[in-house]
Amino acid sequence: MLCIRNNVDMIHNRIAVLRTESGLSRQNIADAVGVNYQTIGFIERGDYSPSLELAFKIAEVFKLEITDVFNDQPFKPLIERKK
Amino acid sequence: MKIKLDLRLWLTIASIVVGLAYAIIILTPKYWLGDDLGYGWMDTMGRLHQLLFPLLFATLLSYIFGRSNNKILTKPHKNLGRTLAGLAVLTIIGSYIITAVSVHISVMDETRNKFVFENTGTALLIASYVFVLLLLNIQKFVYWPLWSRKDRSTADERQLVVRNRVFEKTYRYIVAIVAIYWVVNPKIINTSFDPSRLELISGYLAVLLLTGLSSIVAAWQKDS
Repeated sequence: MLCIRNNVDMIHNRIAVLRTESGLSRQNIADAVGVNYQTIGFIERGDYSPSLELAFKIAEVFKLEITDVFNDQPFKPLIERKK
Repeated sequence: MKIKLDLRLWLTIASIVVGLAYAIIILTPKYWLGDDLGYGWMDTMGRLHQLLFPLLFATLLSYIFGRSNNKILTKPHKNLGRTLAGLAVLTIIGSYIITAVSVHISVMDETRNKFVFENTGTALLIASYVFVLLLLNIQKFVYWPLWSRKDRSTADERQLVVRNRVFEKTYRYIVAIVAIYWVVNPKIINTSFDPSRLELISGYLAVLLLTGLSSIVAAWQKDS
């Protein structure tokens, strides 16, 4: 798999889940934030860590805070949180 | 896979077709075509030769001055791209080695045919052109170093990261290749160590410039 780390630790995200819930395609998000749709795919898979500016733009698409979409630690499943 | 037919692609296709025809003809022994066709063979080769190199030049110009499509190599093309890249490297190296060997073969040599070696070297050169042109088109020449600034601004941040990494590696390879070439260049090895010879000076200057150019450019950067 192509890996294009830009010299930062991996940033975890919930873009795939949020995309499914909101019914948006990668192309929709890419058009909204002004990047290539493949870049959204690389971000989702964790193969590329977005810049702060791009991360803010993506969070804005889902109308969420940036920490709801991105985190430097893996997101815990909601089921585990309720326990 | 959608293919957009534009002038550059037509020039590329024409270069590949004419190049392959030329390569096949120069590699075909004349006697295979029969004595009657000897003249026709030479005439056809001459016409193709007159057509091929201006065509290659025009194609190269269309790459230098044309806009790119800014698409990173997609997964389905990745294996094809790697194959083409490998073949390009092999044919470039093969062309150089075989042509270098042909220089040292005498026309009077009965054991080795000088012209076979020369023609093979030329054929490999044309093949390397074909492979590189195909590779550039598959990648939509995103990594073509002579992008206009306007095209560069349309790349997103991930694409710029990839491009920067590619150019960093490419630059290192270029420095290594030029350095090795000038070290093993037969002209340099066989001549006396005379610094007044232009070849010697040019070689050392080229290696020096390539090694130090990045630092020279960095010295003028605001944030270096």
